[in-house]
Amino acid sequence: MSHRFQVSLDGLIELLSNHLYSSPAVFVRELLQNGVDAVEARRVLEPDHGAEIRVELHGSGPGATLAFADNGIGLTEEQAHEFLATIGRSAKRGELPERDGGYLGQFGVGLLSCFVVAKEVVVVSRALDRTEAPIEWTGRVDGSYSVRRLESEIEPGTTVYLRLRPDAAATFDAERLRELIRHYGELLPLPVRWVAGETEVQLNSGRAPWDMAAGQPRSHAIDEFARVNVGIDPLDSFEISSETGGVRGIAYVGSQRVNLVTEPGHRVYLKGMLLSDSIGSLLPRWAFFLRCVVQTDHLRPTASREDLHQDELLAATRRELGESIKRTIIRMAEVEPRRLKRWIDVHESGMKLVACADDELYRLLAPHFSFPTNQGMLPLLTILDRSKEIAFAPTTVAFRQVAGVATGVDRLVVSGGYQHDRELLERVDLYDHEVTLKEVSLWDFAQDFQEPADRDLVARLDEGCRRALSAFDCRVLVRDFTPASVPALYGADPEAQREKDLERAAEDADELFSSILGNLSRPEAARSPVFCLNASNPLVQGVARRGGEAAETAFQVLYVHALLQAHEPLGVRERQILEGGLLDLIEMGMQGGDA
Amino acid sequence: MSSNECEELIRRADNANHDPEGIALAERAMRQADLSGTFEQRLEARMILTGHATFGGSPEIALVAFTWCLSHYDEPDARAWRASILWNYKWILRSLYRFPQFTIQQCERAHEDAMRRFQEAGYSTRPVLLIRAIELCRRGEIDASREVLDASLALPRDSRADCEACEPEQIATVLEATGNWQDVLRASDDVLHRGLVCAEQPELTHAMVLHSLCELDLLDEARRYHLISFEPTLSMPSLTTAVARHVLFLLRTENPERAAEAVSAYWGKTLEEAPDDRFDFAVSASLLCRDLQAAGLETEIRVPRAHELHGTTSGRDLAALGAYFDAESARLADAFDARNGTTHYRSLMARHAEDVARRMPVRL
Repeated sequence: MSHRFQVSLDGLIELLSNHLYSSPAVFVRELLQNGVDAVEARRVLEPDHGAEIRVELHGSGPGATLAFADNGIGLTEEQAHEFLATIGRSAKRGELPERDGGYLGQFGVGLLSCFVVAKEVVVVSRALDRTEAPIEWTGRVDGSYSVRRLESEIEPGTTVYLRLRPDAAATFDAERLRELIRHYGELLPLPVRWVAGETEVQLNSGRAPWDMAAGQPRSHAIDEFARVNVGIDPLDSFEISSETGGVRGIAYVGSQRVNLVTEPGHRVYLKGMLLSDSIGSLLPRWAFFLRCVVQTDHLRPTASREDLHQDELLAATRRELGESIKRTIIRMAEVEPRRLKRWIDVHESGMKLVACADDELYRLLAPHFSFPTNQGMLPLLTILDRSKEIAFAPTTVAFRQVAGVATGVDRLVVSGGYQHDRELLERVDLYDHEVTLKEVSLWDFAQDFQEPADRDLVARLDEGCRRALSAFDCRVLVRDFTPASVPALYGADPEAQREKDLERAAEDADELFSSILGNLSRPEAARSPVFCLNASNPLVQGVARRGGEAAETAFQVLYVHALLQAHEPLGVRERQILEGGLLDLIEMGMQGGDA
Repeated sequence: MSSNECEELIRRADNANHDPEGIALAERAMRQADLSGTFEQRLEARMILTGHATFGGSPEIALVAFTWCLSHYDEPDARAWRASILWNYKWILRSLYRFPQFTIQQCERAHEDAMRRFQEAGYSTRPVLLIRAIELCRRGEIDASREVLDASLALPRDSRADCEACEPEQIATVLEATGNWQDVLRASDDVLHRGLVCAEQPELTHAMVLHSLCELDLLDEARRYHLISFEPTLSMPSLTTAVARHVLFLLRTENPERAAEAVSAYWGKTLEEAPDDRFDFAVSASLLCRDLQAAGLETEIRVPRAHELHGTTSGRDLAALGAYFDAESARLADAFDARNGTTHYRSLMARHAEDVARRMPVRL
């Protein structure tokens, strides 16, 4: 003996409202969708049929009834039993006349969305062929329904009546409903009229601004569309399209900078119905600074019809839209460079990501980019004017350590730490084959400094400083370097720092992990940090002449000062030197001798 | 620097991406916390560094940072962090096996340590056993890996298990080694057909199933997953093996130029990855170079700036690049085989070459 599954309609409604649909307002879209599909089905048989949808709210507050009426193909009694009361069965899968582009609804759950806002749904319908009397189907949230034939004569079409629940009636008043109809149905290719007593007003324009004829009204309409529907004030806009996805629309460049971490939300209409205004996956990631409004005929929606199905069609469409954007940028670079510059002025970060994504765009855009250097933000061309060998620090941490020294020795160093900058710098040979990139650290600078001619001075400084800093792990160098105003420099080797991190971890580890870390240790590759005294500096020369305990204190303070300049962390010992040593020196200075 | 200033450094590090910048910020936060921060700050900075380094392609740095955290696991002040430490332990366990300089005994002792800690903390050892199953099959111990997989799947999932989107791909990895392609697809079904997603899913699963789909002659489906995930995979760090799988698929389906794009785009990201991942990449790149040369194509493979070959070897010198990748894959294979006492890695190289030779043209 076979049985049928039992379905709890209440439970199913809760499932839909909590897990499928993002908002109870989607019932408006579902009803519009059903209406559009019905009239489109009628148009297949009657191509000149004057289709429309009419929406009317009777009453307000508790007891208000919302009516959605279409003059579409209508339903027979049998179809009402089959499609309205069988969840998951959609007339649009096989029963309606075949139509190019298919129908909006496919999954057979749309009408259920009405039960999120209404306890009772009444459908009055007359089939187009008029062979049967009109029917009235009444569905209730407890899962029961009834069907009866009506004696009155009505025109083919369907009207759906919702007696709104009290909470829904409070939320979905006339103003809200009109707003939702415009929101979802703005681009529907048939009039959607709001009826209030004797007055009717068409709520939708039915036409995308990009479908208008070229000219000032079109460009104004496109910009206004962005302000009203996308919530941005556009700096610029251009058309984008994809044949594969049947996509056509506008990409907007906003007048405010956009953060990469902000999830881009594009407005996508599917066959004229708004699918969502927060579709994230439409464009390649590198186009994050753009916001699009598009129509699609071919892309497939998810079951909730609030997002796009992640399939190869979407992937191919995304690629084509990316190519469409690239062509626009290439054309701008060639014939409208000022327009491109306006984009870069506001969205340099976004354009840098674009350049990372494509070699051709890199070559076109790289000259327009600026990079942080120890001499401020400089355009790439200015950087290359200085030298074909770009000295760069790969992270902001490394840059801060080297920037001050580089300035002191009049060297230009570029920071690769900010988003995309490192990647762009590493590909700079795409722009100019002769350019090379050299990663630099303080350690590197120190190796190029000259040995002082005064060997006696060097010996005094070397001996005195090593004694003063014997408790610290560093290699003391005495060199001449410019500017002479800088008394000393500190440079840590990144490999040495990591080796220290490893030693620290191994010290506390058990035998197993200590042996594991031992396999990673490479002490021979790590160089001790360098503390380099500037023999050209008058202060350092004075310390050398002074000697004694005062010199020892001075060397230690100079060491800590160099650590601070290099943005190195200070430990307890270093802080004690900073506090105690400075006071000692001041006292010595006041007394004119040793403390 | 006060602990408030330490806190600021830690927050900056936490907000950074999984890339060299994020790693540098986390290292700075860690070193400052060591000097002037609280115990919790020292721990937190290292946990952040472990994440950035693991997913930013620097597993050695992750291992060092994590070791300190594990060493202090039993301290009272670490109590609030223990669950997170166990979560990170899974990443580290996986990476240990992927370095040939760590002996099998070291890896297995770490595995036993992880099992003990999970059990003592009241968590299911399902994810730990799953890692073991994967590593057994990477060593060629297929029967043993299957037994361990079954034992893993018999255990319950809990909050320390990998998410429902990530676990199937790991299971499929073991099943693939048994050659049961249908089982691979069944295991991957939730991601492939029910839309489960995560930070690296469906990309990892899509790459995972390409070979099985080819073996089952389901080329349309393979093409679909390749098209959906190819570009997103190239844009994400630490997906070296997934990229290698796409490259092998592209070679088998006679799309070598697209494979060259992948190798060019991703090579720079692999330089500090674990040797096992670099092995996968080197094998696929080696086969690519052979293919391009055999076809007489003058395709360029961009040499990353940080690579030893940069400046000395042109990206168009496919013979030289091919020789490099041949030598690199052989070197890594021998290192792993010596560690494992098998010839499995060498046989993997041969198997990939055979697979790629069985062409199945697909227009993309």
